[in-house]
Amino acid sequence: MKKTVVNRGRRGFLQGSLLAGAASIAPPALPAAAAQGSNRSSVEQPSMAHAQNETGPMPSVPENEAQIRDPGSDFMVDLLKAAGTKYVVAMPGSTFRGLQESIVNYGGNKSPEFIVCVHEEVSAAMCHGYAKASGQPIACLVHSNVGLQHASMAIYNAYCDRAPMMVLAGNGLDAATRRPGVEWTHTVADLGAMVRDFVKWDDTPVSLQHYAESFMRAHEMSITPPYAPVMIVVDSDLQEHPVAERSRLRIPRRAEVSPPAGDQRAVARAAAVLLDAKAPVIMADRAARTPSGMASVVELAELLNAPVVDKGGRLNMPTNHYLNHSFRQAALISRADVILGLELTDIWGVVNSLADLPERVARPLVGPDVAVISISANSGSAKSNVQDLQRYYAANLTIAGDAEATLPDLIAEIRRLMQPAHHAQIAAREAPARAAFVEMRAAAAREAALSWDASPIGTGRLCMELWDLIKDLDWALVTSGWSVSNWPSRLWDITEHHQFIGGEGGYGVGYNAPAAAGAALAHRDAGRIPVAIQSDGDLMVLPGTLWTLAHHQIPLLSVVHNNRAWHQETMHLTRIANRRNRGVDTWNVGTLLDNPAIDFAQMARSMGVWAEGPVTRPQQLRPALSRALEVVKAGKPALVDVVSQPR
Amino acid sequence: MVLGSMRDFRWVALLAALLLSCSPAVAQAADQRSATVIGGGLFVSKGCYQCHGLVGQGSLTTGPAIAPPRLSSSAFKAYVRRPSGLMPLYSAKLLPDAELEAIIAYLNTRPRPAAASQIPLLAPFVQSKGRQPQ
Repeated sequence: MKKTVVNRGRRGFLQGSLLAGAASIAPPALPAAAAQGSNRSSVEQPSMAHAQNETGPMPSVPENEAQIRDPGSDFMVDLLKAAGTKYVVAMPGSTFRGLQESIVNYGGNKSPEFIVCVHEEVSAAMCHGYAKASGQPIACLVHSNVGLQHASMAIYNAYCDRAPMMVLAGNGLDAATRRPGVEWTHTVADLGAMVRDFVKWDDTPVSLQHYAESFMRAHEMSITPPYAPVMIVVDSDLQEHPVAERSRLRIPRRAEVSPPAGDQRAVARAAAVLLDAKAPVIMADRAARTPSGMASVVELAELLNAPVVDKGGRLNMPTNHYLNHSFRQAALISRADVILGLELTDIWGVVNSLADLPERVARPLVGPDVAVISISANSGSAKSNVQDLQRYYAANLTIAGDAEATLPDLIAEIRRLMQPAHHAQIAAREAPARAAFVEMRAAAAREAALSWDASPIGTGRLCMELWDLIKDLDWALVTSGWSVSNWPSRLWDITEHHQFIGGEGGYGVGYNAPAAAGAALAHRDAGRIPVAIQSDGDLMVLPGTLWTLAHHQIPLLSVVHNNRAWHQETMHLTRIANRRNRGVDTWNVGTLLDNPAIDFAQMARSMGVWAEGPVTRPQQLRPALSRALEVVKAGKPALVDVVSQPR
Repeated sequence: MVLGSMRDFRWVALLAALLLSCSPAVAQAADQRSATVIGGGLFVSKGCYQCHGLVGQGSLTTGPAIAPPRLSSSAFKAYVRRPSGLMPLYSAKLLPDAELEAIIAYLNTRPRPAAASQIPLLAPFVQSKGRQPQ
């Protein structure tokens, strides 16, 4: 897009000024002596030359040298558009002022649209949530080292969660052009070093063509499984200087990525092992990157009548499917003869137990002859410093490949190898699986009943009242449910891939609110009603997220699970004090979010979010949620503060 | 007594500590209702509620339901003194017998929760054939 420069010239400016001023400005009166003493003989009579000077074309005047046409950041916006970037999320910062201005004035603030936040960690976490809800990466801008430090927690969470995002970090590389003071403290020599341990790739381009190629390479890497954040440093001078020769710049094509699939021979071996298994178990974590992935997991499970334990990294299996046995893991794996891990992050932790006891002794949870098959894009891909790969486990068959990309081949191979004898063995597993599923859910319902009328409100009551209000809408749950005893996964009918965002990744506290906001942004585009079950302590890390929701009119129902504590830590303190045989009743020092109790509703309202609470009695819950839901249906965010049981 | 907030619990815990620091005769003289209140306060102050919930309902990830207790009083006490798994050990120093008994008394007086079959939002899961899967 070429920028048109309107050059009115000096004559036009002067004409306009005169016309504007003529009516209001009285001509100055000449001093009487001057008027009388004018020497008429020194004034020339007007001539044709004078007339030509006044009415002819203006002589050529150089452009104001402070104006810049075609700044480099305009080209950077071209790249954002070429990569299909719908949003750029940021707290404003001077190191990317050029790019921000170009996004708005050159790019029209549309695809990408600038989403403003009050903290860089919100920016990055919104990218994380958006990517999981939409399947597409967006970008966040961070202000050099100080902004990147703020954002780094969220980038780490996204890395652990294998979520794609583009981090564009402003920086001033040329020391000769840095102004004294803050431009030095807000610059580093190697910005990538701050996050290199938990981004897949980073680069610091030194020319616009270099920038173009690195940007597209980064985008491609981010969306090649295993997905991950990537970072490009955006030099201030590259942004703000004019493009020397636009015709020499090329925007690389946006790459189509074919995810890595498992080796065919290994897949064939896995198929044979699974077919011969008498008690196979499928354990899926981040297997289903897309709805197709979930469909493949379902197809595989039904083909084998193999129960699936969904570890919740993504929605891998509909919760109302008779083969979803996610809450029977202990019983299943103790009897399993074959365990198939699909993007299973922690195989060691599945087949072993290592309890938080003074003596950390590992105990196997599976039989000695169990065969473990692992299909994962993480195999052979690691960062040395980051320990999110969990403890090493040597599976019987490790297939390095993206699970979703590999499953069609595995399914095809199973179908090819299946014999009549297999059919009978597999069919015999169906009835017991159905019965076990029904009992699993019945047990969950009986547990939910135990605190149904309690105050503080039982988490089962909280989740089921919410479910009853949303179940017939086009809804999406944009937080995981672990802090509320996983009631949504246990009792809701979650059947579509987009309906559940999955786990947190790195479990860095503060993730939920901004990731939910990012996911809600994606769901807004799809016309859905997103709901978040938001922990109180987690919300207090980045409460400013609520302002972004209000400012950008992002509909989201946030239900605060307010147990007035960092509850996990209350248990840790009790455990460690008891172990030391002292201080049994001092666990509340430094672990409670009370005294004073935080008024989340007032806080939300202060930032423009409709809110009610605190809700303390179960009879108040449904009416409050209903009112909030009406606000969200109208396209705005809403929050209900529910004082609830610990878990 | 409905304990609706952590502040309530802490007040009761203080009262419990005060009463129990008195002579055994004073503690003995406390009536059943006081014992229940005291037991409820101890249930919080000693951290029991953290894993077992404020009404003893338990949770999936932290500990079983214990209201009302499924073990006999003696078995319950024995387990508290020598737990298995992740439950912290409560020595007599941390939780004297009198306090442990007050907690058990509190749990035994918890009203029985409604059955899932009586709750419309949960009943479909526990009806005769349960909620059928897809």
